[in-house]
Amino acid sequence: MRKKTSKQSEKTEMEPEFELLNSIKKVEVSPFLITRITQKIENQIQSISPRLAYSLGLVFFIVILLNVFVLVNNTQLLKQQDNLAKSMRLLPENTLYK
Amino acid sequence: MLFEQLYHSYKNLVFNLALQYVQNVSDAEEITQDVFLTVYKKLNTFKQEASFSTWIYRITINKSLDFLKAKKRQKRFAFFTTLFFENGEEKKYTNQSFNHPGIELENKEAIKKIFSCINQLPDNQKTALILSKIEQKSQIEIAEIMSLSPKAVESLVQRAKVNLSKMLNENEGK
Repeated sequence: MRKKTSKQSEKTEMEPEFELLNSIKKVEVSPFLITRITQKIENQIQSISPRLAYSLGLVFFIVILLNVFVLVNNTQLLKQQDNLAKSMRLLPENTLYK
Repeated sequence: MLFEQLYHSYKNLVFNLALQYVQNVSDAEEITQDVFLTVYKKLNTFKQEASFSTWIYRITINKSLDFLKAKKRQKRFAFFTTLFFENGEEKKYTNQSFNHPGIELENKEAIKKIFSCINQLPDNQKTALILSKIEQKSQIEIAEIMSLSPKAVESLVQRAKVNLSKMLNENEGK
């Protein structure tokens, strides 16, 4: 019962504040806001988003890195083949007469 | 064309809701711009599970809360940035004044106090209180916007009321 009365008093205490909140009126938006928004949209359409630019850059970097890796690996493989041929006293070239 | 129609139908809803969160015209305009940019980008992904106005309400609430969080973060780092930047840069982080054109001059001080307490409430309580007491939305509408049950909304509003009254009493005591 006591709880109920405290709740009731709380309710009556709060009412004036909520009436004040009710008195807040709706406001009209500035008429220039639409031009700012459309300009922002146009700017975004024209320019590449930074996220896309970063991801494209990353892909390009990975492709170059892959190429370098393949090239390095390939030269190492050729050297290994040469060494094997030499160790077996085989001619690693097609030229028979020097 | 469709976007402009949408803008004219919902501009006041978005702007006024943002204004209740930030209590500042320029900040509310910034949020409104952000909301309509998101609407423009994500219009294709809108699923008609909820009404369009509910979707707009959700975007506005999220953008407003994000804006407030970003502002808080800026304030937190303001001290460090003032160490490295010139005086002109400091202005970025100063508190913008309370500027709510929807409030009558005679109630300005009282409502300013209430808003300063509302700003200290947790995000979900703040949203429930703003939607129910300022935007005059029904419990069912709030429940749909916040993706909660009407009972959960009722308890949120109740808790917000209790917390608000505590804060107001403490402020009066000081």
